[in-house]
Formats: sequence, structure tokens, C-alpha cells
Amino acid sequence: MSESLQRQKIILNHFPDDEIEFFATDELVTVEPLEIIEGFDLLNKRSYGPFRPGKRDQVPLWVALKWFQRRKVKKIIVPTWMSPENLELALLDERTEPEKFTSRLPLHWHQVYKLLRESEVKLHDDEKTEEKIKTLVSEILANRKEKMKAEVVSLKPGHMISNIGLTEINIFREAFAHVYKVFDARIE
Amino acid sequence: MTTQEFPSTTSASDNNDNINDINVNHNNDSSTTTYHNADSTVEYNNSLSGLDKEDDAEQIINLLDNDNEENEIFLMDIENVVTSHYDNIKQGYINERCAPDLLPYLKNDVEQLLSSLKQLNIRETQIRQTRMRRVTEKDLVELMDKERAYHYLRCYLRTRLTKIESQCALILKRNEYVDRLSDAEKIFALDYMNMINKHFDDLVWKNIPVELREKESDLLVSLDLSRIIFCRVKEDLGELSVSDNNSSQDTIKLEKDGIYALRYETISSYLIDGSIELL
Repeated sequence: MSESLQRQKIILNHFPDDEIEFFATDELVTVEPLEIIEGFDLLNKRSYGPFRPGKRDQVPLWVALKWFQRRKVKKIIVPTWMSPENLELALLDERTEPEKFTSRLPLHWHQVYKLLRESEVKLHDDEKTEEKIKTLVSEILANRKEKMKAEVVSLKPGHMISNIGLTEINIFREAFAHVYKVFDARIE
Repeated sequence: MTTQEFPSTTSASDNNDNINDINVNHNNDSSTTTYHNADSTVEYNNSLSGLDKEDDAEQIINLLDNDNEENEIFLMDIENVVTSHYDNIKQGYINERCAPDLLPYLKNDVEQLLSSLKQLNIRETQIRQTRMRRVTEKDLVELMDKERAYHYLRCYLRTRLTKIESQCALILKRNEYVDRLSDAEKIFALDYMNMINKHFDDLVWKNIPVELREKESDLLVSLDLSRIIFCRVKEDLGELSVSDNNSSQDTIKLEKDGIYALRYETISSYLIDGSIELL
């Protein structure tokens, strides 16, 4: 947990990016341990392990990243939705359906991707494919942002925006807060 | 006020009531540690599937020794396994930060999470005192987990304090909001209100003629309950009326796991009963 996160001032109806990244670290990922690690119980009442070298097992992302840093795991196996095949299909969905967000990506998709990248986790064994994943992710995000711009104008209460990611919600939230501030100031 | 609610790592050692409940096994390097409290019994069955035949034989015996009462709690916990106190506090914090008005205080979750944290602290002090075993990876993960739980708790309570400070007069004026405060928060809100009033009196009001004073209206903030919020629906809730300005009678169907952009006032009751969570 970063120092800055602990000392942050609380602003209502707003989450800074590093805070939603912190929420995303509770997501589960698969790791391949390098040594024997005892199993553990977490306060969210779930148990993990015990871990053996070479035996793949699921842990929360924050544990995986810590172990990766400390070289306790050989690698973090990226989630299946982050495969180039799935991302290609997701991008295709985004392009063909202007009204909807693709159902191929989870809520925390962009945070998980960012966290893995920041920790220099290999997204794929092949370097070319890794580059492709990066391009696809940025294209999907750009596409979704365009979609959101159109949506801000038309978004009315009661709109179902399933499959939207938390990054996108955070952008929306900020946009709305701003729009309302302008309106309130002008109308008064 | 917040500092009162958090037992520090060192002060936890004062409470030795539960020390007998903790069994630390020093027979080998990879020693096993087992708690015998109701909270951890839920893990017992989950861990059975992954147990090693040798090192954990004793653990199994210990777990099987639990009396029936604990097993009942364990069965109850299985049903609630998705909503642990940790998860509730995390979601409670997100809800509190996104909602425009003050939400009910999660008394049970705060208390239960604090007591689990207290037990972890006691265990940690014990391990430190014995100095018999090396610090393992498991200890480090559990330590970090503890810090994360404290972080969410701190954020939850601080968010509420921020809200109480900014909406103090309104909260104290309306009974429904007063009921949502914890005992400590009530004291805080009253003290804060008195302080603000005294400050304003000393600084401004005493210089203004009595007939021109309009104290109350300045402090009463208006809440933007019609603000658009983002929420996920946890169970099918049927039709919801989302008519805007009474011009049209639009209804939408709230489906399980759907994410919606809605006006806060239309779903505030669902948020309190827990069938909707904010994002």
C-alpha cells in the first residue's frame, strides 16, 4: 500500500486512480510458486494454498504481486480475458456494437492490466504477442472513451451500462460531477 | 475519535483472555498455527481439501475436536461466506463515499472485524515473544492482510467523519440521520456542532444585530439526492420507476448483476437493505 494512499484526503464522490487500483488487487490470479509456501487464511474468510513449486494455484492479486517482487513465484499467469484472442474479439465487439460495452472484460480489467504492467509481469512469453496485447488494450480503451463521450450527452437515469469497467465509471463520475457543477453555478 | 477505535499492535498484548485459544506448534520448521474461534472455523472445511497428510494431521484432530456449537456456527458461516465483515466494510466504504447522504453505521461489521484484528495482534505478539520460529511467508501475507483491513476500516470511518463534518447541522436536525450515527459519532457530531457555532458566534454573530441573524440557514447544506450514481444490482428487483420531472412514466427492470446509472433517490432504500451496491 502506498504512503500517499494512506494520507489521502477523502473527497466524496470521487476516487483517485490509485485507490481503484487498490480495490482491484482483491481480484484472483493464478501463480506458479518457486518454493513451498504454507497456506494462509485471509480476513475475507477465504483460504489459499498450501503452495508447491510448479503447482499452479489462485491467490489475490496483491499477494501475487508481492511474491513476484520477492521472487517467490516463477510467474503470474495472466487472466484468460487478457489473451490476445479474447482482446481481439472484445475490440471487435466494441466496434460493431456502438451502444454496448463488450461482455468479454471484467469490471476491473484496466486496473488489473495496469498493475501487472507496472510490476513488469510478462503478459505473454512471446514479445511480439505482448506488444500486441498492449496495443489491443489501448485501442479498446480509446474506443470505450469515444463511446462514453457520446454517452455523456445521452445518458439519462435508468440507463443500463452493464459490462462497463471501473476506469470508465470513474471517468463518467468525474465528467458528471463537473457538468453538474457548471449547471448549478449557472442556474443559480 | 478514530484513534480510540483502533487497538495498536502493542496495546493488544494487554488482553490475554484468548491466548489459550491459540495453539502454536513448534515441532518442525513449517509449524502450523491453528485458531479455535468461531470466525476461523469456516476455513476448516475449505482447507481440508488441500491438506497435507503429514504436517496437518494434528490440525485435523484439533479441528475435529471442536464442539457442536462451533460446527453450527460454521454451517451458518458457509451460507454467508461471500459476505465477510472485511468485504462488507470494503463495500460499505465505497457506498459511503459515493452516496450523497449518510448511510447507516455498519456496527456489527466494524466490531467483528476489529475483534478479528485484535486476535491477530495477540497472536503476533505471542509469536514475537516466543521467538521460536522464523517469520514465514504466511506471516508476511497475514500481516499485509491485516494492514489492508485496517486501511479499509480507517477509510470507512474517515469518510463518515468527513460527511458528518460537512452535513453536521442537517444530520443532527433529522432523526433518521441521527439514528444512523454510532455512539462515538454522535458525540463527535454534537461537539463539532457546538464548536462551529461557538466559532461563528465569536467571530461574526456577536457583531451583528440580533434581528439580522440567520444562523441556521447558513449551516444547513442541501443534499443533492438526485445525483446520478453508478450501481450494481445484486438480485432481481423488478420494475423501478425512473420518471424525470414527472413528464413521462418510464420504468426499467433491475436485473441481477446489471450495472446502471440511476438517480440516487430512486435506489436509496435498496442500498440500505443491501440489494444494490455502489461502484
